[in-house]
Amino acid sequence: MRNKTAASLRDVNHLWPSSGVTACRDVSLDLQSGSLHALVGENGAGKTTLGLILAGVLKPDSGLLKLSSIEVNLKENSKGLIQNTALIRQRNIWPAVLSVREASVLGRSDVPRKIKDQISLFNQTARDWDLTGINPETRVSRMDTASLQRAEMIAALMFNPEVLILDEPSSAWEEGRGSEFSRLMKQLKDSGRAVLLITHRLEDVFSIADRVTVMRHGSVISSRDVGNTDYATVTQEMFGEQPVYPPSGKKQYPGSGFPGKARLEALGLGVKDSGRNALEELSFQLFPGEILGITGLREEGLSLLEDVISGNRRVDKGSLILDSKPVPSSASGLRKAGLHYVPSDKTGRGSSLKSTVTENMMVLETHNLSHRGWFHQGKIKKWVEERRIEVGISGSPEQKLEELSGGNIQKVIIQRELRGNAPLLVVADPAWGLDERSRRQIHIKIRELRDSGTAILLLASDLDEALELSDRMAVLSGGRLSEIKSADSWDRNKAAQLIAGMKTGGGSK
Amino acid sequence: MMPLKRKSYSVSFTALAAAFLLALLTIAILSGNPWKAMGYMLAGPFLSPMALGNLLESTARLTLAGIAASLAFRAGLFNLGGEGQALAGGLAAAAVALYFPEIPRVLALPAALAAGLLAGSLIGAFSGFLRVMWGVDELISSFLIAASMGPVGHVLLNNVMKDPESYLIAAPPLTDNYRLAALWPPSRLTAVLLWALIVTVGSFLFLKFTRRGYEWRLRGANERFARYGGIKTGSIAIASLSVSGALYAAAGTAALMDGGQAVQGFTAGLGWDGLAIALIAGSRPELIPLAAISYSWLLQGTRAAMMHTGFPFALSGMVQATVFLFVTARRFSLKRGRI
Repeated sequence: MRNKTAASLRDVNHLWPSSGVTACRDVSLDLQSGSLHALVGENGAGKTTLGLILAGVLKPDSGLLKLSSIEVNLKENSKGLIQNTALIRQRNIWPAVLSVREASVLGRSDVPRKIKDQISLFNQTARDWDLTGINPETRVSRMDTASLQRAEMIAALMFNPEVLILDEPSSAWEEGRGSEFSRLMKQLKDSGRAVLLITHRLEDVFSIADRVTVMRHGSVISSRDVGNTDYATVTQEMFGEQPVYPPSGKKQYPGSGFPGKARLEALGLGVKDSGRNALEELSFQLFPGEILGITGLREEGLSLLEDVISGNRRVDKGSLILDSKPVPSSASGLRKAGLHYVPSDKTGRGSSLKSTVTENMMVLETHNLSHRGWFHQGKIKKWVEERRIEVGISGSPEQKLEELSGGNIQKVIIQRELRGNAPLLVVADPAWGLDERSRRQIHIKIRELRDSGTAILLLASDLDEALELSDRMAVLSGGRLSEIKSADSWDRNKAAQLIAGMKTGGGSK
Repeated sequence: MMPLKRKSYSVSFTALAAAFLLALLTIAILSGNPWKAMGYMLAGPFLSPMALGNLLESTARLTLAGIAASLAFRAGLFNLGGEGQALAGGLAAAAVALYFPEIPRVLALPAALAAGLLAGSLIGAFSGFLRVMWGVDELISSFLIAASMGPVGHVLLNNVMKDPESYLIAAPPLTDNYRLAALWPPSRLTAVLLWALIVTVGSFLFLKFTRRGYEWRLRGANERFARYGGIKTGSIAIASLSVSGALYAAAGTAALMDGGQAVQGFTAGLGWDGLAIALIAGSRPELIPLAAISYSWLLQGTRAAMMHTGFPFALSGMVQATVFLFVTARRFSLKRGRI
């Protein structure tokens, strides 16, 4: 099985007509059976577009595709590819009203006729790939992100694709499940499938990939075996220059002796919910001028904590104090009290896909941009343009946000929330969808805000991001908070074990 | 989960064109004199100053109803209670005319209109209030409240407000001080045209250039995002349904002025016609008058064809049904795959 070419793309070109961006320029790519091929590049390099083309979802302007059984002129015909390739998108697009089973067979012709057989096919696939624990009759709307990612994986494997395309999967295979992801990748390779992994996490590339292709501005820069390249080379090829990163710049605090009064204080918060998604006796203090990181799995309390702090969920027990006063219970009250907030749900809560870039950017500033209730159009134009350039958002101010890539959407949110002298900033997964360089820029920005006196609560589902960015850090697992200590003094393995819910003796259940 | 996708920005004048075609086709097939019938269907509303004036009056009334439905749509809300709100508005205005017949003209008309607007806006606001307080879906509550207005109107017109000298289920005709001047006799064109113009321009400016209008639109585009951005989405639900109810009531009051008397069923159809027009125009105020005049043309044309060729009256209902079918089909059809 090994070393057979499962799919090869030749001379693919594609221009997005709405934005005039050439996403693919003479791109050729070979995928081998039983091999994991990583596709890396900056935001907007054309990786996702290429994935869509390979999966037959998008018709390019030109290009050829050879699969083991067929050869297709992509410009004329991309049907039939669905039999051979499966794509797992960065953002799940399953209709919320369907069940997982219904969504998994959507749009396919080779589906068992009986519902019973579809269910058993789903369950059998789940068992084969050791992804059990998902009921195929659950509604998509009731699934959390992590389970949905697993369900999509099962759906992709149900029909035995030769080629599997994964677009930025690691953001949802969170810490603690990371090992499951690696295991799955290995199993896929052993079964002789070709895997294309679209990612911006170079750690993944060097730990699990066999080959790596770098794209920049729509062109392939290099394509090599992982053994023949290294982190620095790939980074340079991705960005075109050697990036210069400042030192991480953590603040050191002596023990528990913090200066001044706490800005935000949680006193014995308790929330009941289904299963392990609960909060129990959760207490912490957040001081001005520090980054307190809380990391863990979303469904083990992190999402719930975010909802409580952002006023989207009432607590059953305990209280939340902001500047010595109880926190307002409504979202609008919290905004008035000075909360700035980057939510983990970037496109449902953090932005409006059907609205324009301008409308998304200005929501907190409408008072300053209007006079007696009427907008000042010229002022808005200038205001938006300045910020758009400052943060590097590609796309015009009048474009609908849904036409932008994930990274650009995140930049829109970031520019809005990471601004000025906010007394309190809650930021969940700040580097979502961003490439390495943008990620660094965001981290620098967050530290600047901290140094100017903002109290920052970081809710990170990525352990490494929490370790890197936090001054003090704690792990949230099973609804309980571990001890809070300086991020430098955390042992990564111990933190990972805590997240995965293992007993280690220190502060866990 | 929301039961329906509550966005309607797609402009579907194609639905109207399709309905026109279907009506023409039906007439051509069934009528004894197809050419004459089709001629009346297309040109009927423009053949005399009276027909044209009546077309404009009906357009103005339907514009009010269309904007009423649109404003709720744009704030992400379904107001299915237009029928009841229009009736309540018309009845409230008629009640003022009935119980204060002698007040001077300068006060009479504004008082009647104000009573109408108040009645409609209260009914609309009530649905908004139910939604904010207990999460009652306004799609259901507005429809149910409207449905209950029908019998209420019947009782009022048949007992409390009934004209003792008439065999109709009706209130007495309006006294002269409550009548809008005819602008273009013998047609029934009145200042309602001006009301429609003001409301159209006003709502266009409101949505596009004001902070509140932006907040309404943002609520319509993504309610969770609007709430997250510190916008008081609950107040908007109440305010927009209240304004929507008031505009439906204005359309109902216009219907009262048009007929000069509150007769059983005098506002019937305004609620549904308003929704159809809002859907045709993609809920964009600047396109509502165009949708309203095409829609009126279609209805009046069918009526003209019926009157001149003895065609069955049911055709008008069929044409309306076709418009609805096409508009909604477009709305819920799957869009071509976009990534």
